[in-house]
Amino acid sequence: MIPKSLLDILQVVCEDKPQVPAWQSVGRHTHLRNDLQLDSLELAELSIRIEDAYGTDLFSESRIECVGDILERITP
Amino acid sequence: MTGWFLQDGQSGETLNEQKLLQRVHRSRHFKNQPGPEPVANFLVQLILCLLQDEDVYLDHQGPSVCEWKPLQRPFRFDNLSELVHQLKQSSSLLHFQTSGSCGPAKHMTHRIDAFLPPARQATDDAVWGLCYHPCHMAGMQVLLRALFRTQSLVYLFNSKPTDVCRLLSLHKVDHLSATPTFYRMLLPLPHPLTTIRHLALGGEGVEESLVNRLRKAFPKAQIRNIYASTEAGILFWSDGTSFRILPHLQAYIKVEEQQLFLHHSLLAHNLQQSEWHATGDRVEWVDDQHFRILGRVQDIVKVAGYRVALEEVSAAVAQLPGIRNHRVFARPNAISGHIICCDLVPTEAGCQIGPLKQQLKQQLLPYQRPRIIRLVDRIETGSSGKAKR
Repeated sequence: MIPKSLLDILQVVCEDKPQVPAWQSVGRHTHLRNDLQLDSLELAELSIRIEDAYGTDLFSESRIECVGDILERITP
Repeated sequence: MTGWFLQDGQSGETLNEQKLLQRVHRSRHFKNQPGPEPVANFLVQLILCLLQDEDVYLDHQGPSVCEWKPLQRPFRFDNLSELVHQLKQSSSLLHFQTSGSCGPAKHMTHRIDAFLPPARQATDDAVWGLCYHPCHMAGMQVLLRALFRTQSLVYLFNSKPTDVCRLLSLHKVDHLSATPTFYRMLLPLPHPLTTIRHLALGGEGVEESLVNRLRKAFPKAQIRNIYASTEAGILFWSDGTSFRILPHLQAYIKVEEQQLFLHHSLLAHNLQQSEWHATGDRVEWVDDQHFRILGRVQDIVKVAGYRVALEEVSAAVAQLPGIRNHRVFARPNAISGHIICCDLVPTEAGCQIGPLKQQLKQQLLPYQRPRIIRLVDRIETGSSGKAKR
């Protein structure tokens, strides 16, 4: 289950992407680049928004490719 | 109100010529690190230091922590002009710190002659709005230049925009000098203010649209954009955004790799070691006598490998409708190096970020676009009155 706060962040970052899959299908295995089609600037935006919301700088320490990688980092 | 006065916009206290002379005369002690507020106390302590030929330490960080020192003798003057005449002879050095808004704070000293007003026809009945912190170079320029011409002052630093509007009208302020950030927060006015005759702005980059808004808000004002620094004082001015270099200054400036350099002879007393001083300002020549400020050297950041000038982004943001003030800044990021962010102060409640983002998309390249946009009530400023980057 993806927390609503994380889903909200993903939706804000993807708001200009009409080709993104239906949000109810987004899960742990959804790939940030391949499925959500985030480019490097959008990944940077995502990391800043997650840092502000969860106090975690996702991309500075580990490789983040899927939504599940984010969940592992933000879940206590 | 007739005669000279210093009005404190925050406390409401008024210091007139008689009270000022009495306070100077009755003083037996002084501090050479005067606390900035209340401003009347600051002025009296500053005057006592200058009369004693004592160096003055202007620390904008907080209240004075130094000890009271005894005056060598009481000072008595029959009128303000007599006092001013004595002050102009002072051998005191004034010690400043730069605000630190553009890198580490630097210490510099100026002699009193750096604050003498230019020799042109004085208008003694002028009333200045003092919108700068008095411990900063710009605040001291306004304070001492007004005092040296026996011109009155209304202290407006840290006052709310609504109070500023009221005080400008109430005290018939006709000279106003402030940062662009101060004016952006002040606009729009409830109605055009026709009492302002001279309006100066400086310390930060100025966009043409702000100058146009100021022309509408202050229709009788001569508007001057001033290039000044703590290191060198006032050097250049402009009616718009390009600064003219007066002939006597042409040999004392140079531009290398878009950065403006000043000859050491133009600088503060203690900064005259190397021949040329890098200002940190990026400029471009308009013609062989005029230059335009592009921004600060340090305000170029790398975003995904591209160079982004924050001022360019700021110029686009300034065009957004319904926005009173803004701040563009960069945040470090592990993926892209930096990411551009922006705080906006809307003029009215109910402002939506979506349409603003769409407009910026038309004007800016993907790497220039602010990715994080926040709506805020006010832009945080430093003690210099400049927006914090």
